[in-house]
Amino acid sequence: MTREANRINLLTFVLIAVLVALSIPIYMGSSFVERHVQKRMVSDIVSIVGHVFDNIANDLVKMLGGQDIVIALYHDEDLRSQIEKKLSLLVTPEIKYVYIVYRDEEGKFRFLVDGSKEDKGELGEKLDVLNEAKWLEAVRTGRDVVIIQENLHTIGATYIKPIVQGHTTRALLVADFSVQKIRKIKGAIDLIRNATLVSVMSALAFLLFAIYQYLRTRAVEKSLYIDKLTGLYTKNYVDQEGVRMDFGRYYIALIDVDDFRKVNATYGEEAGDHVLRELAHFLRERLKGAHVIRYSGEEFLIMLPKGRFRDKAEVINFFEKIREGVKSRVFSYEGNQIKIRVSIGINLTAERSRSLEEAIKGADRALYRAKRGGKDRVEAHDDTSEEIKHRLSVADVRDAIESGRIICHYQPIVNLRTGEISHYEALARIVGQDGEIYPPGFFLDDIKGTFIYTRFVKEIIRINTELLRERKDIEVSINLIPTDIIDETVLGELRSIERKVRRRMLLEITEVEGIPSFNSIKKSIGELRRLGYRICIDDFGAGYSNLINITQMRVDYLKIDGSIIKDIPENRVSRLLTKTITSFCKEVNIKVIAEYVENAKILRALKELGVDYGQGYHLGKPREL
Amino acid sequence: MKNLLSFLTLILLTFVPAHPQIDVSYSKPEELEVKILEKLFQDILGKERVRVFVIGDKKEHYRRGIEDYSDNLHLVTNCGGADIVLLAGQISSIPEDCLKKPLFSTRRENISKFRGCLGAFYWKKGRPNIVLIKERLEERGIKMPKEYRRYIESEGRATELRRGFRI
Repeated sequence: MTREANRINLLTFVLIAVLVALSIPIYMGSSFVERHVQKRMVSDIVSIVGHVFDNIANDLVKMLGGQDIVIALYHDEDLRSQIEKKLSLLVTPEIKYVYIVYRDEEGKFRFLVDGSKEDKGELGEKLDVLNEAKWLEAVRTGRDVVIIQENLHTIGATYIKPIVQGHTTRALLVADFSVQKIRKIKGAIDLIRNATLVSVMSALAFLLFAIYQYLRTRAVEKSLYIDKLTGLYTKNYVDQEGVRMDFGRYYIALIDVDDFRKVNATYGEEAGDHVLRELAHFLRERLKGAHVIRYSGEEFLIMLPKGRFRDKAEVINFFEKIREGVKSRVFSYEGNQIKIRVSIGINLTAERSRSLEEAIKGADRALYRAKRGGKDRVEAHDDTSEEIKHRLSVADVRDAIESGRIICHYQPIVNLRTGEISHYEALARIVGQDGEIYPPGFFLDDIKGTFIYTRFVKEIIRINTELLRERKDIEVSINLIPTDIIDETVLGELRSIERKVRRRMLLEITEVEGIPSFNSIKKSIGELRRLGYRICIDDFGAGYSNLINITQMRVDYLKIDGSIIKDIPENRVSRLLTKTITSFCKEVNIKVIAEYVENAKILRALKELGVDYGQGYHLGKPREL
Repeated sequence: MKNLLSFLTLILLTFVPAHPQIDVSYSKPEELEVKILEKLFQDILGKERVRVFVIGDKKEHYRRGIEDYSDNLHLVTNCGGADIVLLAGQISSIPEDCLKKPLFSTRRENISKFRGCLGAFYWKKGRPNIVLIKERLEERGIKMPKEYRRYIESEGRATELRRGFRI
């Protein structure tokens, strides 16, 4: 869910809340108006009936001339008829029944006269009354009583007027009526109320829909943000929520499992998954209060609140303990005791980054150094350190290209059998405005992914093409990354070079693993070889390449990574690895280059192992040609 | 007629229970009618389950009501199998075999029309009314509970009242 969508959801909630808040008083108000109108109308009719009944009761008493009303009406049919006529004059669509009853000696109410037009009661007929207490109240007190009856659809009343003779209530003059007009008023009010109800219901339906959408989005987010294997947040979470995080409050670290492929290859992927699950649990336990994120396969991003530490040294020590903790831990899986190591890169100055992404990049640089430095170590990136202060910006690199301050230093690659220089590796440098020489570590990571990078690569190609045109006695290798050789601009530049020069130029391609498309790389390498370039795979054994890929790409050289070569005199595994790679490469006609030939011991060991070429300070430092 | 019905409904819905002496609960006027008849028949006959044969121009209305709302009244198709005969609405004549059975009406007029009619439950000015004839109950040896006292009328008294002898 984007922030925009969040804002829309919030707006929807507010609008609905306002609509509901406005509708409720209207709805409640309509009920109040309805009750008030009903009350008023009933009260008006009751008042009218009351006055009319007063007149009729007075008239009756006069007509009776002192006779008891019950006896008189029982015995005098004419009188009954006259009174019935008078009562019938009161009957209207609203006043439905008008009649006189009396209470006999058993306490039953019986009809004396009935002026109603329908459902007439006969003389002496019993009438079972409802709400008898009220009727008896009229008899007892001699005062008028009104019984109101109302329900959802209509309203009515019974008006009871006692006819008192000689201080005794002898009969009751009764009218049953309903208030018909209330229906019409109620209809109009119902219309308003129903319209309000419909709008409230619609608003609630929208609200429910919005809640449903919100919950659905949250569920989708959860599935995107939570890693099923470890239960940690994923990189998606960082990508989405990172913009809202105050990342300056954290130390940013990347923890990467060294040679994790070996765990999968040796014990199986299920064991690998188990190790990752356990490692995630271990990190969560040790890093309470920190954000622990599974950033990629075996790489974890840690956002550790700064407040817990007094200084940067303490942070580095803390991560050293984490590294040691992982190293000493045994991960048991189906009887196997698995041990792993981790490399950790920390960005100690995340607050200096413009974005979380940039801060992570800082940690990534430190992690890269930890890997290059032999793994199983902690490296820190500190923008405040002297080295970093001197980093070159993208603008600096652009200026250097435009003002011709890009140069190359050349390190010889020596044929270990003959001792002759086979070719030179061109190592890019920038001459700073202060005359200082900057190696790629000062700028390359920062320009990757920008348009300046391609210009930079083209400049390196141009410089070396010029060199090879001038110096026909040498051969040079230049460094490219996989994306360079599928970049049409770079490819176009390489195609445009004359064949004579191309035959003396080697292309060293780094980080073959993790390439965007293996087939595209393979195709490009094929084309470049047909053009006359020779291809060298750089950094082999640094954990990024594999022999299957190499053979499929039909390359000319393979350069074994310095991390393997540096301890070849002492480490049997490194020796065995180098020997195996060398003999394999001989079989498939690939020449092997060993880098990091720092001393005579390494050189001797390489010669013993039959390695074809060597490169390193012992054989020749990088220099200008 | 429409007005009358709405008026009846009004009064009915207002007074729940409609008859303070006869304790029945209901949610519709039709249900009230059936519940009162059920209670009356059970007390008249002194049995829980009562077989009823319905005749008269309103027989379909009452049959439907009994089917819908009563668990204890069971409709039968002839008088032979009935415990009581319900005269529903107007009726001109009653089959011979029905005259032996206790009759009960939904119209007050049927009480004077048929000698075997024990009483009636009917509507008077929107109010449910019950009349039970004392002598006819006694003839069949029926003794009603005290709660019915206010609904029991004597035939003799009715005559006296009409003549104005006893008021």
